[in-house]
Amino acid sequence: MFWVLAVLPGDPASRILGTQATPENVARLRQDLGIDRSIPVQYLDWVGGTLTGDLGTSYVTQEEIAPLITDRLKVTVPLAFFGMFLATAVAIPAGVFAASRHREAGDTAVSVLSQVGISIPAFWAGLLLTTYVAVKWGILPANGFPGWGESIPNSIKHLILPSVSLALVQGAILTRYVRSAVLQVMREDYIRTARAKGLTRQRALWRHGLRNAAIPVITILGLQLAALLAGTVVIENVFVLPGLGRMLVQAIERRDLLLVQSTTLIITTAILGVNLLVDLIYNLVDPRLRTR
Amino acid sequence: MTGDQEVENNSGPVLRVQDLVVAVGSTPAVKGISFDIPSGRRVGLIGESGSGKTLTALSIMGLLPDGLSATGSAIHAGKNLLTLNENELCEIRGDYLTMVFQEPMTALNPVMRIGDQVAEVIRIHRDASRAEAKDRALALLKQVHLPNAASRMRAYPHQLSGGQRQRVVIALALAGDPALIIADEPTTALDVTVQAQILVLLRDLARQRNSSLLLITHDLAVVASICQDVLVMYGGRIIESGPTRDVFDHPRHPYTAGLIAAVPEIEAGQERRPRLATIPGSVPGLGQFPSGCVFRNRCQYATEICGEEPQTVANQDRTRTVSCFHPLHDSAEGTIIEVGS
Repeated sequence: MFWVLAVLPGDPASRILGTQATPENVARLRQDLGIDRSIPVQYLDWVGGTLTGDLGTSYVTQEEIAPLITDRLKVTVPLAFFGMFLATAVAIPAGVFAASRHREAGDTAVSVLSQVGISIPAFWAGLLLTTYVAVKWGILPANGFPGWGESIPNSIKHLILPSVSLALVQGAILTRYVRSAVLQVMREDYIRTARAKGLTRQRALWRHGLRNAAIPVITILGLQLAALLAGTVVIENVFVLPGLGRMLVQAIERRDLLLVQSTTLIITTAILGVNLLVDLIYNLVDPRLRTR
Repeated sequence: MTGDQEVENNSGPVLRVQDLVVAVGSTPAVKGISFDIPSGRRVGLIGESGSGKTLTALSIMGLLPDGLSATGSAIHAGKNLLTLNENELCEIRGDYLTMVFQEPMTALNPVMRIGDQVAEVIRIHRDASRAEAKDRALALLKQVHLPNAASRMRAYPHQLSGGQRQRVVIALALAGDPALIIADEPTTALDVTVQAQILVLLRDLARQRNSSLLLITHDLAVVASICQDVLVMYGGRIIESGPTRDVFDHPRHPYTAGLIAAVPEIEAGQERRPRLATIPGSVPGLGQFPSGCVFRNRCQYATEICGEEPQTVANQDRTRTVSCFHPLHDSAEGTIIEVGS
């Protein structure tokens, strides 16, 4: 990532000073920013700083980067988790319901709805929600974010519509995965054994099917959560939320290379963290993965 | 056979199957079979793959896969199992009517402890507390000779060998009060050395509890050593039935005779063995059996009349039936009891 940004065309210094800048001024700024040094030196400096928790200062605004990112995470992380929570809360019952009504009306209805959900782009869902729920009916705020320090209930209110927009698409995708995982599991031999023991089809599903179906679903959940942590850019823009994604886009526009670099690092770390979490959950759910 | 003289009560058969048809879509795979399983008897159901053995078992259990349907009747304790709804079936299944499956590797839930899986059956059918069910489960696992049963209660299926898992599956089948245990190729997936142990276990436990056993297999030696009666199935029909020893010594249907001839005999003191006998041709696919006698395209005795539906003929004391126009070892005592559909 560092190398890609370093060889990227577009000099931050001339960008900051504008087209009228004299070459002397640009050179001086480059020296101030530390980007006149050789690339390996810059790299070592950056790695050293990062390891001690000092992410440096933004080229453009001269602000400390670490607190900047922390502030943004306070919006993006709740947004991603809340969105995933809503998606899961809808998708798991819907998927299980559809699978247990395989090829019946209920199954078809869920399949059609989830197809619609997948087809709707998140930003459009966001715009629709804003138009109706916020502007026309005035139930929830349309956009912006007051900050947790201001008012916690109010902050939560501002996150509801963005979360719902995210949940709509993610939930629709997840529903399909849950449905197919449950259908797959219901064809397994141990479900037949469970029924031969005297469990009804429904009870066999609840007692023996769900935990087995959870294994592939957890994989998808992890991927989706990681994707949301990295990519709520569109929704943050629609709802004018001061999230990480929005900051990343702005930083790229302004050639604020150090900020881009650090933000990417944080996102990558978050994704690795989610993957680790998924692996740990696998271990809890599936005894076959536990080493003896 | 010593087992022949075991308790014979006159309460009628534990299962009476009549005109059972199992259709895959609109193609019948089991074409109207009828048989009785007398109380306390061990009956073998033999035939090659694709003859409809497993479908017969699954339809009795009410466990046919989606898209398959069974008609006819399978009467157990005065109830037709084929017309019961899921809740009614669940009262019988696992308690009076149990099944041992072919694949012990996949028949158990991989994410549930062995002890819990066995205890579950007891909790479904008996008003037992958690602790009582656990005790009973442990007793059952000891009965099926699972080594270290007490500590294995907390094990997961993947920590057990195939033979051990099949013992657990048998424990599941014995947890209730089974009048009939259906075992569908219970040893096919196991090592040869383990097969005999499992079969003997199954036989002894069925005998102890006076449960009937329907043993499905393609292995004639297994039937010979375990079962008192045998049903021979081919192309979705039962083509011959009778006491095992009698049928094996004097097969009347050419197919049965072919099956028996195809078993390699290992006898001491013989330098060279004759070539293995085989039945010419192979089992046709579903829906590709000939009309009339299903075996006629592979049968050396087939004549024109075999294009018609063969009748099922019984001997005088009704212990044996055969469904063939040219039965071997023909005797004059054959009387027609039933016309095959």
